[in-house]
Amino acid sequence: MTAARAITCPACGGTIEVRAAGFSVNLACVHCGSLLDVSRPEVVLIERHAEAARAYALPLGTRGVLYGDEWAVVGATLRSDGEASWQEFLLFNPYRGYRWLVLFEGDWQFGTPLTDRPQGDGVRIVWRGEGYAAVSDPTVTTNQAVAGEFYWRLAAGDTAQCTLFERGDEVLSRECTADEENWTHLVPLPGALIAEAFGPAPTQPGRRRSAPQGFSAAGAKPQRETGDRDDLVWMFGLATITAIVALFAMVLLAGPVSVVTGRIQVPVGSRTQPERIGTITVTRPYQFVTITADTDNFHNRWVDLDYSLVDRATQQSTDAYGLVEYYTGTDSDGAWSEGSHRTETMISRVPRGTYDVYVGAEAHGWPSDPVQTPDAWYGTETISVKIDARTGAMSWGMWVTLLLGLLAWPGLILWWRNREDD
Amino acid sequence: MTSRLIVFALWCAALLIGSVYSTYHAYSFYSDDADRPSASGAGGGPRHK
Repeated sequence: MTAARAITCPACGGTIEVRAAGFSVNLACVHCGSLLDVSRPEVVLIERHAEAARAYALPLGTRGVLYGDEWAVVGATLRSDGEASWQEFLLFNPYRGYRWLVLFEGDWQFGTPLTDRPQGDGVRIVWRGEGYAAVSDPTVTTNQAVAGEFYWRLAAGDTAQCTLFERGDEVLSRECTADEENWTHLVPLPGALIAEAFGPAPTQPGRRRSAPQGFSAAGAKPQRETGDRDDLVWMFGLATITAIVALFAMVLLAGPVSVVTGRIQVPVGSRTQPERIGTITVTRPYQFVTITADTDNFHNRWVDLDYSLVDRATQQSTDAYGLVEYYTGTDSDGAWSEGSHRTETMISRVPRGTYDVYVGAEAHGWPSDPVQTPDAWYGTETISVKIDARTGAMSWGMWVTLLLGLLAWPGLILWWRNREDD
Repeated sequence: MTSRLIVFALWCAALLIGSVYSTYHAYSFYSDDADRPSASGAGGGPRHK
């Protein structure tokens, strides 16, 4: 590593080490945060800060080995895009130059400044034969705090405009100021690798925020992808847990079960009078009542079913309807069939009470009712309908709706992300 | 925990409370109350073309 140079802060008198002496032009005092010009032999105070240097995740001066090279943390800055903030660290190696580490919501990225500029427009660019797609509009980011030394004039309050381009986990960051345009290539880095290289982070920044739009003054910027992916996993997990808890709650609240079954015979071409099937009891304040009608095997017939639940205490009737129909035929495409021999009707908000279940029915043929022959052997054609009325059912439709509501949000985010990757 | 995750957690809680409330009152968007199936009245028959 290059020889360090010790200076005295003209603001607080503290001794400061210039680690990249000869390269750094800007330095923030680690004791008082004042901004100093170290490009000349005499150290000049640029801006005095009363506030002590902010605690960063990596202490200035820390050395560590990444990708086979030893790097020293020479500068740190806290950046914000107005919605989120993150930390960026300037690494220095006298043989390799400068690199960046970006910390956003616990995720790290390693950034390399580009010397070859990508080609393309503001939406899609190509760099070294690979395409990258823009994931954000140009966003203004601000340096909120600066510590350590930098190879250009950097001060709190400096702003730049950044655009991010992604290809999978890799990100290209373009940063524009009034004077220049810088590009940085960023790749994700496991936190364990940072801890192994630089030691555990002694302090963490203040409350972290989500979804930054920013980048660094040197071209580095946080990658939104990794943090988003983490909370997307949490979203799916939370949705699954909520769906399971809701399912248990809905099953528990739906019971208990009261069942009555019976059978009615419906002559085709006529209507039957309501027939009492039996009695069911609703024991909760409200319960669903489901009535299932199963018929024998018929073709080209339909059966209208009228259900009535008559409260024994009030004689109030709750009505519902069912339809069983089944048709077959042939046409130019061949044989076809339509309908079912079974139907289920769900009655909601049935209040607590004891109910007599009545079923009336009407059956007809298609395309017309069959001609009834006064034949003593065959008699009148009838359809046998088995009725099953019960309490204690839950609405699976409501649960599926809940599931869709839970998964819509993370699903849309996932879809949007895959669309961007494509 | 990101703010987006917090909002989503609140959304999950709201949906859970809503589904439990609707189940307690036996309410469903998909119940068949007073809905007479379409074949009745208009005459039965297949819709097959």
